[in-house]
Amino acid sequence: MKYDVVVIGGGPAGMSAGVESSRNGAKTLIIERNPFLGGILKQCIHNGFGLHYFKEEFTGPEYAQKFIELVNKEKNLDVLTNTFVTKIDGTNVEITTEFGKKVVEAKALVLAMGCRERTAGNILLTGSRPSGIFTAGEAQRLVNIQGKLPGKNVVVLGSGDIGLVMARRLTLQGASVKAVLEINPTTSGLRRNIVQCLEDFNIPLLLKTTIFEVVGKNRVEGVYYGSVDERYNKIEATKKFLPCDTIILSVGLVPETDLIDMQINPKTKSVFVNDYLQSEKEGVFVCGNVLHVHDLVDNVSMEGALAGKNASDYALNRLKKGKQYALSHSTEISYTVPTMIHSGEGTAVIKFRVRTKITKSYFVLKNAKGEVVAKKYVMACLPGEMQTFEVDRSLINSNLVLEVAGL
Amino acid sequence: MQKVYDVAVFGGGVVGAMIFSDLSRAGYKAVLIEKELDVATGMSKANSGLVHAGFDAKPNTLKAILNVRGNKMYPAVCKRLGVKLKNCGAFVVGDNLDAVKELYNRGMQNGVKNLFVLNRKELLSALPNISDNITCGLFAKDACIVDPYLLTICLAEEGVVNGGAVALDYQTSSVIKKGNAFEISGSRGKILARRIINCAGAGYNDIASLIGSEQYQTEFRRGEYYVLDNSEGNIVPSTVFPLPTKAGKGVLVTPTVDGNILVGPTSYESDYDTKTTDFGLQDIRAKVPLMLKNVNLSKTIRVFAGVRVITGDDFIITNSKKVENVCNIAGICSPGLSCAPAISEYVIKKLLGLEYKAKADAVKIKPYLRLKDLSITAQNKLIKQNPDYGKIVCKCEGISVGEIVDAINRPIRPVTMDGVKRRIRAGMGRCQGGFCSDKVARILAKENKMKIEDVVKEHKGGYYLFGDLGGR
Amino acid sequence: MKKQTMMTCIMCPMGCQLVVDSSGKELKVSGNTCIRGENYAKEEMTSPKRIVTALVKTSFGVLPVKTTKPVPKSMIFDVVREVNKISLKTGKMGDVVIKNVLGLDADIVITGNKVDDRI
Repeated sequence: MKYDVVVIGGGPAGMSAGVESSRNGAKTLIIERNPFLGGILKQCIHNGFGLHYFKEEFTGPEYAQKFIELVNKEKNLDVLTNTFVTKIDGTNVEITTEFGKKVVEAKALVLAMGCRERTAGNILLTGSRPSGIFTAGEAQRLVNIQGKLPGKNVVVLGSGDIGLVMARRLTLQGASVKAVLEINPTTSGLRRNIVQCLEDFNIPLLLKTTIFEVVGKNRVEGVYYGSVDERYNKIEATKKFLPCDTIILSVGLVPETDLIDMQINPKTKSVFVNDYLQSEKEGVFVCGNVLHVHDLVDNVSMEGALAGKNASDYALNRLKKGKQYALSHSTEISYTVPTMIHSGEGTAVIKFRVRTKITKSYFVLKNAKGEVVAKKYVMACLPGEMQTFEVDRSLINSNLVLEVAGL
Repeated sequence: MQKVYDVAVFGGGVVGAMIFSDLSRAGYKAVLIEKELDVATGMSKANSGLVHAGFDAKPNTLKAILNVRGNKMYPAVCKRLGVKLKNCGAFVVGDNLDAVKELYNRGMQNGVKNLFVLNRKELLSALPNISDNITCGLFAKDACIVDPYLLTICLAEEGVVNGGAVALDYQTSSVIKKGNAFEISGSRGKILARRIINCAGAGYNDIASLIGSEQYQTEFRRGEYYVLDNSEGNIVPSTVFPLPTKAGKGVLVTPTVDGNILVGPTSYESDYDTKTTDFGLQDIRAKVPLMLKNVNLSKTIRVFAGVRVITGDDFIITNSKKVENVCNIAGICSPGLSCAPAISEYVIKKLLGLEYKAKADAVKIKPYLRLKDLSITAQNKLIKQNPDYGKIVCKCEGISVGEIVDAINRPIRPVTMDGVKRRIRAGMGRCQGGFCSDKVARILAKENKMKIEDVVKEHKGGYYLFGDLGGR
Repeated sequence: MKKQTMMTCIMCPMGCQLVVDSSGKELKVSGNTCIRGENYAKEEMTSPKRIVTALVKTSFGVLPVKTTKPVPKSMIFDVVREVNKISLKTGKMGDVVIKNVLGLDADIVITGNKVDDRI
């Protein structure tokens, strides 16, 4: 099998990349391990998707369906479901299916494998290891796709959005959610979810609080929990017992880089890319949550489209790049994607997050001489929200720094 | 007339399973009695997975003699079972040359071959990331690593295919001598046996009290571990220990046969409780940098703890003086795994006075099939025969539906999700089952013709989920 | 008596801390930066509404559903209870399973087809 562009992953990033690549004239293949396209959107049955991309509010499955229809319309786009990529070799991939193992050759590759959830082991959850500890996504799949109840008396650890959404879902399905515990002084989930998933149902949110010890031999019987100090040390005097049969973990997402053999950026836990979303490996483009964990699926779709466009241009020998410069950032900013940026034609998109809440400021892009190349006003932004900054490539002629400046 | 077994073995750990297998292969009728839902659920599942060379134990102790003998026996045992054994060697590193030399001499006294005293320069060529304070070390070439639970499971299976019986989930309530046999009563009916071997580990004294045999003062010591992602698999080529202290062999760093890294164990007096603690994990975190610079604990995928059962300085392996035809095996802490084949040989030959040699027609088990260990051509051939081998369920470890189905349809059928995990590693990887647990549970339910609501993780009552929405 | 309610505005990332004074005839909102905050606070105080999503039982598993319009927050559990009463033989994305649920002027509509989750 030979394609111009192969996209690994049929979630929102991969579908968008595939559609764009095909529209751009490249013979494209999307490889998906599940029997269906749509990825995690299929289990996100709550609403709130698409306001930016479609200017209309959808549930996860509805948002996925919009793109599945676009995929189906494309003549130049093939899809292989139930297919596992077991190896990446340059831009070629080894796939495993019920028909055997084989190699698919591609001129360009788009990596869109998404992310995975941090586990009890990752956060060094102490105590016993009984049945009844789920990551939020696993619980979501059990409820929304299998129609099964993971537990009846639930403690949610971490205030990530999936955890908040699951607190509401489980409450509506008849479970009792005792509390959401967040070790940080602020929540990591969207404020709307705090209001509509917790406050609407009187579910307590306990900040600077975590599980000290899991209790239970067979099934979870409860947790010892309490406060932590500024350095995240557990304050023994605050320790209390909370009976429950289930612990849901919503303690962060990590890009799924299993198949990727490249240098990892410790800030994003994924690879370094340039403004064409091209990685250090020739012809390998990266997008969506495998590149950096996004806040909104709308942004994932847009990034996927950009990767699909560039990968297909590359495969068809149409990708024209100028000179490459480094992009760094000031300490108020926690990371940028990309970390390398080109001069030349068109607009380069910079995505980033701030480290703490910022209000009424400017994001300023400066060149090596300290001159302002571009700036953008920001009313307010939070670390949980991804920021976008666009710059005209014709203005780029040196290394750049992204900074935050007061009014 | 109810069947009378030649030997009843209490405890499905590695020692019990080894004895059970060896007896069965020698032609005796043996029964292995285990209170949990599977074998290998106690100490045998939660240890470092090391086959020590044998330099550490005090000369002339059972620990020393059986370790050196066990180390020699391991390759044949693992080859027979198709269980991975990796002869990666072990280093002991420190800053005290006298202590290293003492270990070397002890090893020589114990009859350990292939021991080498190394200086820092020599150490650096094998372990480029040893800490700056390390000046010398010992290398034991014969040390190996093994998968301790798969080994135990395969041994128990081997006993079964050679005519033995396994009574799982068997809660023993009484052991009464009736004529020349013991009548064992419990939750799953009566078992008659002429001889009893009590190697019930943490449950030794409970069984001994039912038999009326010797009980021993027992101390429990918890050992906590970090398991690191297989991305870290190459940080050390061999097991690396610090110089031993009174509390034990100390916090070690070792590769596992499946490509992970284990860091641990701690050693603290405890109850028989396998919980992990902040105290223990921080203790390891503090100790590792004294030995190696490149251990990245932020790559942890799991933490766990095992509990050692200790009854003094040496193992207790003896015939009961109180009750005839009862053999006491107690306090099998480290290096119990290393000694297991030799313990079995010693018990069968010396204590029971039975034939140890396997019969000519002894049967081998079918080794566990791992597709990713095969060539692409061989994999494709298998997938063609059975498309389930091409359907990957556990993405982290690359385990297919077919391999999981095979792992369930074995001489001892796993009925728990952890049982599947220990047999075929589905859920052992970096996502720790987040993506595949529900699929494993569904396959397990289907193969065992049970409802998914009845699937448990490890122990009775440890249900995976609570039934359809609306609740149990 | 002075009656005050605190809430965080969710209309934009500013997250203004709003105070709603309901002691007088009209609600008084303070702490907001823009008119959207005032409107949000008033709506949350007088008639908060939500889109409700839930799962409907079918003979082949569960399907996701939603209300086609926001319904009063106080009715969320009642709406879910109505959905739980149903068990469908067939059903696909876009099908209306309850018309004008509880007279709230919103329908319950299926939002996704059965996910093929065979092993």
